Parts: sequence; C-alpha cells; structure tokens
Amino acid sequence: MASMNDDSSLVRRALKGDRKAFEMIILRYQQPMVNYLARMTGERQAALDFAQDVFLKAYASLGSYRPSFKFSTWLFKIASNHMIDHWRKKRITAVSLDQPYDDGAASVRIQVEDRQPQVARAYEMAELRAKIEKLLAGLPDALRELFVLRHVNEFAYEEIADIKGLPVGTVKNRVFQAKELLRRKLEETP
Amino acid sequence: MESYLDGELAGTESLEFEEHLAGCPACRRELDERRRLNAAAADLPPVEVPPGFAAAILAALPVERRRPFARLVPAAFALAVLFAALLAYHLITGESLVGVLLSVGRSVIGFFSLAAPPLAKLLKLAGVFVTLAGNFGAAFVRGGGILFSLLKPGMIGLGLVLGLGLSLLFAVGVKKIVSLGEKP
Repeated sequence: MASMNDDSSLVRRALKGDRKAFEMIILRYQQPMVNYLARMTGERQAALDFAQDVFLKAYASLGSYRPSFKFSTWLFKIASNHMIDHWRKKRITAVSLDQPYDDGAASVRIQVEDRQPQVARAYEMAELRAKIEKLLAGLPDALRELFVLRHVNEFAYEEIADIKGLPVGTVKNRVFQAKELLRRKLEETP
Repeated sequence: MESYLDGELAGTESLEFEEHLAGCPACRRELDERRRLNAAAADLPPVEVPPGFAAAILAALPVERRRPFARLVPAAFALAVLFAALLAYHLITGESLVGVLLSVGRSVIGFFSLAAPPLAKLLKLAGVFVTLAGNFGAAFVRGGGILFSLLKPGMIGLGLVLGLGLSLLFAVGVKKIVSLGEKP
C-alpha cells in the first residue's frame, strides 16, 4: 500500500495546493539535486540557483507527472533539460551522443598499491575523491553528466536512459567512455 | 569487467570471469582500481545546501495553485444568470418576484411529476430489455460454440455458406413483401 509520504502521494497533495507536501518533496531531493548540478556547473552558487529553478519548473508541471514513472527520474529529466538549455545559452559545445567520443586511450590504470593499511587507504581514497572532483570539470559535458548520474547520484542505467531519452546500451557505452577518460586523466595527474 | 562490477553478468559468465581473475594478477589489479574509482565517485562529499533553501523555493511559488471553490464558480454563475432573468421578468411585467419564483417552482415540480412515472417505466423496460438481450447473446454464443466444436471444419464452412444464403433469401423476401404495397 502506498504511504502517505511516498512521492506520488506527495505530488497528489501538492496538486491540491498542499505546500507542506511540496516542501517535503524539496527536502527529499534537494541534496542529490544540488550534488548533481554542482558537478555539472562546477559552482555551488550556480547549482543552488539552478536547483531552485528546477523545483519551480517541477511545481509548475506537476500536473503532467504520471505516477507510473519514477518521480526522481521525472525530476532529474527536468534538471537535465535545464542544464542543456544553460549550455545552449552559453554556447558550450557538448559532445554529440550519436558519435563515439575518441579519447585515444583504450585502457588506463590508476597507480595505486594493493593491501595498504587502513589509514593509508582512507587517505588514498580522500585524495582520489579530491582528484575526481577536480578532474570531473574537465570531462565533456555530455559524458560528465552521464558519469555523474551513474556514479555520483547512483541512478540505474535504465533510469538514466529514461532521464536522457537514450537507449540503455548508449548510456552504458557513454558511462564507460567517461570512466575511461577519467581514469586516463587520473593517471596523468601527479 | 564493468558488467561484472555492475552485477550484470549471468551466473556462468560471472563464475568464468572469477576463475580467470584467480589466475590473472593484472585483471585483479584493474578490477580493484575500478572498484576504488566507483567507490570514490559514489562517496564524493555532498555540496552544502543552506538551511532555508526549501523555504526560499516555497516563498517563490505562485500564491495559490488551485482555488478550493473553483468548481462552484460555474454553478454560481448559472444562479446569477437565473436571478438576473427573473429580475428582468419582474421589471418588464411588473409581477412580484415571489410570484414569479412560485410559478417557476410550480412549473418545474409539475414537469417532474408528469414526466417521472413514464420515465421510470421506460428505464425499467430498458433494464429488462438489456438483461434479456444479454442472456440471449450469451446463450447464442455458447450454443454456437458447442455446435462448432461438434462439427468438422468443412461442415462449419458449409454451415456458414448456407446461413449466409438463407439470410440473403430472407432479406430479398422481406424486401418483396414490403414493396408489394408500393405503386409501380
């Protein structure tokens, strides 16, 4: 049985004018949304502004949401389209999703050693996170977005396919390319 | 390797890959690197969201999404039009408003008291007709099913042709009978 606070119930209540219900939706999704947008824009303030725009757009289109779809997918689709509009306005060239991205590297390795002590491993992971954060900005927008949706926001490939309106196979391929490019950049980073 | 990490390899494929891993240090190292990259990406620090973020969005929302009495507006409008018509009638004819209201009320009640009994009978008859037609249709389909199950395919075809021919003859006969009264 659907809970009073599941996404569909909250949407129904919000459509009836219940602002508290929409506030619960915002509180539920604000963190993953800002995380996603921050990695896409590279700036915290821009991410917060964009997140506000996305939630306002979502509120205005709540009537078009169909409960047969996952709400998070629907919401991130709005966010993704918002990002595309932003890139278009900034005239940033995104890599076409219909063409393979040639990064020139078939396989690369991150230089890490096996079986390190716990503290050293934690330090190494923190360092790796910092590097990823920095290097993500250097990935082409289209590849970065798919990588962030898959590995940072941890959406399933099928959900990303819904968000982006792409075949699952294409999504998998692009995520793989993004990861290979990131691994190559990690290898090059001292 | 990515399919293995995503848990998308089928049982036998997964076992085969693990067997390969057992004897291949290079693949083990690469798998470990990929695992670390996945884990690090999933564990990136969250970007701080200010405490009043949701409240700021709520404040920016349009004032009222849906008026609670929006559905009553057409009814209120209809009532206003009726009242205006009655008032106009009163002003033109000089009849008292109460008198006009009473006569309209009487007319409405009279109409329903006259129309209600035949309407009820008609609805009852329609109900009986629908039930009978439904039962007849079901019996026809069931009977047809039993008949067809007993007959061989060739016989079914013959029966259909005969049935069609008889229907055609019946239609021609009916047309002739009907046209007997017509002038040449």
